[in-house]
Amino acid sequence: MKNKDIEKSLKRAVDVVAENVFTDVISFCDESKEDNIILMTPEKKNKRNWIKYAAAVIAVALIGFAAGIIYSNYFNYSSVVAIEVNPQIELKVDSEGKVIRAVAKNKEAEQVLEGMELKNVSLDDAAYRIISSLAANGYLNDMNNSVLLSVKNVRGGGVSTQTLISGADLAFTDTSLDGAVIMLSIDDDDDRVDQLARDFNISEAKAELILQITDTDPTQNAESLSALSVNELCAIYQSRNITNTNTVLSGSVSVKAYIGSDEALNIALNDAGTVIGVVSELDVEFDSERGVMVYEVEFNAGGREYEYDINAKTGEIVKRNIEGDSSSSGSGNNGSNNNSSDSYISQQAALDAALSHAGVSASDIYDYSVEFERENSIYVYEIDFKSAGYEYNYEINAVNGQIIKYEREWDD
Amino acid sequence: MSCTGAPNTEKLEFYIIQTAKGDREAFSDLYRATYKSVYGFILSITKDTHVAQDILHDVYLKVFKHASSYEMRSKPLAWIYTIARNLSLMKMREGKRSYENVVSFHNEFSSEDTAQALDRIVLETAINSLSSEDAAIVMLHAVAGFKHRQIALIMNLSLPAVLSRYSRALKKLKSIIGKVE
Repeated sequence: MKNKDIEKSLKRAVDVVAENVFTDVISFCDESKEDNIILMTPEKKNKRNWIKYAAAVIAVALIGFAAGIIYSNYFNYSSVVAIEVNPQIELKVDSEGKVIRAVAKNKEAEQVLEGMELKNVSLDDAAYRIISSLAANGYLNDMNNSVLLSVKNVRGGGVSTQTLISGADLAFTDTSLDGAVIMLSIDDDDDRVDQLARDFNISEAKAELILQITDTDPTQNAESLSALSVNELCAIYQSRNITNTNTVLSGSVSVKAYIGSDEALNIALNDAGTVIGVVSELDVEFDSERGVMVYEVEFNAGGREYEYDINAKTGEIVKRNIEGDSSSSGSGNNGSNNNSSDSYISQQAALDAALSHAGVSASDIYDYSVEFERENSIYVYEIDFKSAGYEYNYEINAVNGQIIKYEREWDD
Repeated sequence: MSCTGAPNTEKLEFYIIQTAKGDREAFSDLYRATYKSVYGFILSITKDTHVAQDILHDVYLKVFKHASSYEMRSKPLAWIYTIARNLSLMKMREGKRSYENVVSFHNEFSSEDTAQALDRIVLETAINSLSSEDAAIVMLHAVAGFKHRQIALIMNLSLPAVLSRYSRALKKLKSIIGKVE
């Protein structure tokens, strides 16, 4: 057995033994007051007090019965609808599409729901009221116009997604907002969604959207995406023309907060010392880099492949990757392009520096990755690898090969 | 690098505040976000799955009842752990015996298959062959998903100490389980 197997085994074993406790706890909490809890464990097992004891047992049984009824009503919803901008609201809906209750999932949502009575309200009306309140409270505006809606049907529920979208559209019209909606259906049995939501402390709707993005483009990093706002995620989704039968994008996600793809392209072309007329394979898309929105600009020119990440708000070049030059292979100074990468040490030299510092030989490493990045105005190679149970992370100055940062931690 | 696995403090505080207002939904979220680590922690002290489940039950009843007395800016998990530790110790005193020496694993796995049997053996081995503190380190990491540095904070140990104890504990488990397999 390996370490990972032991860890998984422990996790599974505890899942089996601890899952059943919750039902007991919640049903008692529904009715629980100090007295009831004491009744659960009579203080003295005095035989002469048997009448008292029997009464206590009957009382517990009755409370259990009453709690059971409350429990079943309270939890008897057939769909969960989530509405998220930054405020996160959940509606528990019955089989007829009426709201049983609305739950604020964060502090901002409490403000949005304040004074709103949604019980027994139809779903389109609830969506209308909540989205109007989101706009009134300043969470939706020209720069930030997207709402993430999701439906998870449990116990045979079947909420119409069109109802929700029409409620949202009406709210946009009434508040004169040019809004956008991404409407998702979440599969109750999809463990990946649940796991991702737990791992990054995000909603299931966000997790589902992130999975759709990473499934289309596996180079996308879920951790980085999880740090983005709803509008940012929707902008990435929109720019990648993702098609998924369970997802509807209605309206146009605002990108007014960003410099624009033309400007991003110009910045990249200028940096590469080339012009639009000579490049091929051009592609500009939204992407995220360590939780920051960037334009990913890719093109080929002069026998090289260029890949840039440009900060979508500031226009700063946060990553630059230039590959392939038959004539100079990165070490000469004869490049016809005005390309500063010629004066950098090679990837191999950077890796050698890291390995020699770590005292690890190249044959012993795995999960190796290297990226050429700009950090604090200098260009660096960021090198990650694992060896003998440890995870290493190095930043090597790409000009002089110096180690800028070094981290080693137990690989968990 | 963000912390994954362990629930975030702000969210837990929000759940506790809502629980204090009687919001059972928030209480349910709080329970789901924390019970595994709390159970693992109790189990590492009591070494008895039934007793640990009883205590787990009592811990969350207390959390529900006393949510309003939770003070903001303190640590929500530390608060729950304190309740769990106190109740575990109280239960041990009530039983007038040290659970340290009593090994009691009940068959929670009705119609247990081979894979489940192995999981149970691993859990039993972890609880029985490791010291309470080492078992807690292993449970907090493997079951609750805490990073080693978070465990170091919770248990008031240095990071290197947690790393080496974790690695030694797993080595020990591997060698014992290897003999069983």
